[in-house]
Amino acid sequence: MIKFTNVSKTYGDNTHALRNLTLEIKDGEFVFIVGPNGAGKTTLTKLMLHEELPTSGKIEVNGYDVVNIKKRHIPHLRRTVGVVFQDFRLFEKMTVFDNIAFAMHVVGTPKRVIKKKVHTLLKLVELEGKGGSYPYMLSGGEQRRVALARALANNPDTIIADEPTSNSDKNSSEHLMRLLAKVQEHNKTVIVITHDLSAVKRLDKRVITLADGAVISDIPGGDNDEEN
Amino acid sequence: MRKTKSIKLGYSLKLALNGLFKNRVMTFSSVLVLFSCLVIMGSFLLVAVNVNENVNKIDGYNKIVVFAEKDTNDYDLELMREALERIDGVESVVFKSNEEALEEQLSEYNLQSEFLLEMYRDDNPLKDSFVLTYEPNASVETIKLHIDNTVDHVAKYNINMDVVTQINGLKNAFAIIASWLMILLFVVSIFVIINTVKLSVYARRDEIALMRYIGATDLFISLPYLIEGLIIGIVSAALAFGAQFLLYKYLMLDLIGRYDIITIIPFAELRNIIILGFTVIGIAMGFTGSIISLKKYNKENA
Repeated sequence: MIKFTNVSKTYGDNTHALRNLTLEIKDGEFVFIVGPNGAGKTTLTKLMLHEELPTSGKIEVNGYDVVNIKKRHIPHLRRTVGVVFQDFRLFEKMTVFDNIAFAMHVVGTPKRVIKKKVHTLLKLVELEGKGGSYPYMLSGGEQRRVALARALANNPDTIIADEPTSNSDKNSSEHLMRLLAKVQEHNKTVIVITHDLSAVKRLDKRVITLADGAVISDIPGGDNDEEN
Repeated sequence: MRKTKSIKLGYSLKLALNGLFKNRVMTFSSVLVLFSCLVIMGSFLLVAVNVNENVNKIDGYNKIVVFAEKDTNDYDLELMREALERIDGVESVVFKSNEEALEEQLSEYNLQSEFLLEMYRDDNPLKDSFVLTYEPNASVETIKLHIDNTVDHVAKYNINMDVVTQINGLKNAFAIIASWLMILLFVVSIFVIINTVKLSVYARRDEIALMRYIGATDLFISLPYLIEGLIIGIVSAALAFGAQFLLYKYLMLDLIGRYDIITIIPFAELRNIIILGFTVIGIAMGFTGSIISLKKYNKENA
């Protein structure tokens, strides 16, 4: 579960990124977070990962008290959250296989497990046979799916996809959204941060709208809330 | 909460070797500087050990002659010997009777020994004495203090203080110069290693940022850089040992060792201390350089 209680975040130059924000995302939910630039979407992600700390308020992510977490537990908190970055952040000099394996090496997964799991993940993101390719050999949509596979590598409880449809054509966007919906079926919480309202409309999911650092609307989806 | 899996050394080693290769110019510079530092330090040490060995042979340097009071009986002389032998830092005690001393002096002045010996037999003006040899590093002042306070029947003792002072002064000056030079070289080595690791960290900054997002521990992120430092240290130590061996063989043993007057300690007797010293210093310097560099990076990117 992800829970923000009265969270505010003010940066040094007196910019209020979040203002007394309260929201709760249950385990296994699929949520869109939308809003204009400067609404606080990126800050929200940074706070969830303890990349930044709030000025005030409480944050709970997958059982961790993010504000009061001990330094040595931060890596464990982060392992519960997989992030698909807007710019993918794939290593150009690594193959697709190695890019995905990298995430598992980092947490000390044995080699034989890595090999097996990478193949499963490639199958899940529909990139079988692309393990030996380098990122530059793939289309933008395919690279995004590699990033998704890497985010899923350590079996996180939550997946955050930051602008997963930006700079991609309609087919690629639909494909990725379909995959994210498939990920949710594996009982994972999926948070999609996006500007792309067409993607939001295509899937009947909960939509939280942020503006000026606050939640201005929270519309439940058609299929999430019945289960949770 | 999730269980931490063990850190995989093999993967960190692979990253470390990659880093060293990618920044091979800096790696080479680090090894070269640390290597030079170790060789200079080792050379100073070996020269010092040999100088020590040779000055100890200078007559009167590490010897004290302790004279017994006239007419001290055999029992008391034996007690004196035991008391002298018990003093810390004393290597050996050799008794010289007044008759032996007389004979020695007469022969030294090339006099008719038989006649004079007969003349002084009943009234020998010389005293019985003990020639005390002390360890090169022992404190003469402490030994003097012990003789004054714990040995009875001492008439006087002779120490060639001029020689002792001069040699000790020379040794101290040598030690001070060597220490400062080593400190300077260590600082330069650490500085170069810091920069090598810093470049390596900078080249992999995206990788490190992603590692943090994925949930890598600080140890996992730092380990490759610590291994880089370790490798630089070990390689430098191994090369320095080889160079030291060759230098010692050709300069000390073959060149200086030709003169009979100078004793050169065989390399085999010094090998273990050189290996140990180089390895410990090499590793310590490599680690220190890496740790300083990582701390700086972590502070800037916390």
